[in-house]
Amino acid sequence: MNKALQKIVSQCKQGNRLAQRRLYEVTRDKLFVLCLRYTNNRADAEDVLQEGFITVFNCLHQYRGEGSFEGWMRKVVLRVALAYVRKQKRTFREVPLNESHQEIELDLYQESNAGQLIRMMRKLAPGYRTILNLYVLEGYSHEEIATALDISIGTSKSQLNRAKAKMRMLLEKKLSSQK
Amino acid sequence: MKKRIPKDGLEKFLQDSFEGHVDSPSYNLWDRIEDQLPEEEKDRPMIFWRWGIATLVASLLGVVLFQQFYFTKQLGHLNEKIIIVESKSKTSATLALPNPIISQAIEEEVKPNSALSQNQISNKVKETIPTRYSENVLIPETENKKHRIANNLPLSSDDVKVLLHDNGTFNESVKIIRKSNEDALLPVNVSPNNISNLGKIAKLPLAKLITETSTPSFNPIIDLGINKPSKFSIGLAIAPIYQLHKIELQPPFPISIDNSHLFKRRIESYGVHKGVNFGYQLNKRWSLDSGIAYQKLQSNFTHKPRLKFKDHLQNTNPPDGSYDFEYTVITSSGLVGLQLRVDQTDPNSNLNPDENVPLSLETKQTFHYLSVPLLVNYSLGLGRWNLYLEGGFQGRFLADHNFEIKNIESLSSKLTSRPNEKFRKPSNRPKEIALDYVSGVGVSFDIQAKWQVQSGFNFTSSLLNISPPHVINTQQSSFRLALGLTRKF
Repeated sequence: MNKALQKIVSQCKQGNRLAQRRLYEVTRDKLFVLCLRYTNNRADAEDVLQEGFITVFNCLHQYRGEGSFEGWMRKVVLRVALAYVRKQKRTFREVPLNESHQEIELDLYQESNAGQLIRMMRKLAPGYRTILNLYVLEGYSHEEIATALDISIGTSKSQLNRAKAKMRMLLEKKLSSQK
Repeated sequence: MKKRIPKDGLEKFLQDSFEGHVDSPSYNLWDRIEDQLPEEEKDRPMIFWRWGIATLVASLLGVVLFQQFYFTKQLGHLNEKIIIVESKSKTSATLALPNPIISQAIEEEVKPNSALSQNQISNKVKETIPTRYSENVLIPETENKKHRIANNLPLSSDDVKVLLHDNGTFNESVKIIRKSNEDALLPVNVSPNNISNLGKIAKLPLAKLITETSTPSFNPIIDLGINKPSKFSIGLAIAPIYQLHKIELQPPFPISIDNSHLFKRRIESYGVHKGVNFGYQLNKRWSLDSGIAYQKLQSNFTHKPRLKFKDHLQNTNPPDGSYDFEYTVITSSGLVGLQLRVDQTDPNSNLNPDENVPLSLETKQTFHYLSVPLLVNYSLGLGRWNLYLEGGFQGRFLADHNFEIKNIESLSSKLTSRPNEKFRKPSNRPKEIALDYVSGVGVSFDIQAKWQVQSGFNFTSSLLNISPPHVINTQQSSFRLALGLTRKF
């Protein structure tokens, strides 16, 4: 952690509002992408980010300076995002590959690669999307995913495979439509 | 994010696509977060420090006020007989009373018609307070009374004041010996009937002793009824003012984290102070001043946002080749989010995400303050020209604040600014209310008996911000050079 960030974190622990806002400004954009990947739309992503930051500020005293601070923040926000997923009451059920999950949001997201992928991932069932995110992008193992989502390791593995298959299908469909 | 070694092409594709990808939430998300955070604890050491200074100043003022009132009260009942006496003897002595307020007094028994010579008494005085007098002091023949040289009477230091008393009670008479270069002056007795309603001797009006060789007489300059000391005054003041406005805030988005100096910003403002003052005279030297003042201040500031091309807004829909950027301007009444649009000069050129987008823009802020001071004023002199000191507090309220932005320029050859910026004011800061301490020094001049002009230098600085807590914390220090006109009543 660089000195400037260290100072900000220390001031945040004392409840300094300026420092809290500063921390928010320098970390919000990366964390917002994380929230976008687990939610159905930008509004929900903002709600998750909001709750994530409140949790970060309230639990800041639990950070002992061990490991990356940004990593710790990311974990906290991820926990909030997973709580959101659970709150949606989506079951981690098997979904046939040809069953397209209804697209919840049709907002005009910036058509960057990542933006397109997020749109595409929203077409996956929430369970698929969550496991794909945790495994591929967060680097969680199947054991960790099983613990975090309270599912079996086997379910995690099978849903990951199905999620990947679905993603491949969506990507191919996208590519073929561009040809 | 832990880096997992991708097992297949899809995993690698996903990881690469999200690598370094960022997106911004709504502008007002922070306000929503802030609403749910516990109230911020204030910076206590700073407050203690400021209160410490304020307490010290108040204590010093209290001590001086107490001393002043205490001595005034001691002399307060000396109002029955006032006899102005001039020595029969020719004197060439020069009086050099060292200090208008000498708390130490000299007492001695003077027998009737003892005809002590001036030198004898002077020597006694010298023996008693040898260091206080460098020249002879003139004491005339007196009645069989104890007398005290009362240097702390609020009279001209050219006079020798002798208070006569019985058994320690000052209720008999006062002798005032005027320093004069005239020869052969006779004692002058002034009947108390002529100068009734004098009130406390501490408020003895100025009187001029007209000395004639044969028949000296006492002639007040102004009728005593009219010459009653003025209690109240009203005045107007105008002053150019310079204000240093310190704003503490996190740097505007998306300044990099190393620019921690942007946590604090100092803005210089210039303007005019106009005020109406009301004064109440506590005694000859001390007065209380209050009133109401209006201050209009203007501040121009050139901003140079350090933006990168990758910081352009993702969720707006500018025309092709145009990009929107967001820049937050710190103002005294809140944050102003500014959306700036720039065009690519050459639409075919590729802009690197880390390409600098150097912009320059000017902001003009106008502040309208109302303030109510409560000051204690101490006059160092009692003549026509006076030096005065003042100190106290003022309540200050930011009544209005205007903001303008102009001259947006792109300093890059690759981009051109467009004049279609939008303002957003997500942060509505409550109106600023503050308590300041005020100190000043100046000179006053009596142009007539009831009219006075003043010129003074004032320094004002924030002591306490009473406004509800906000992300913006402001502190002001200001200097002004005032010119005032006062009418006494």
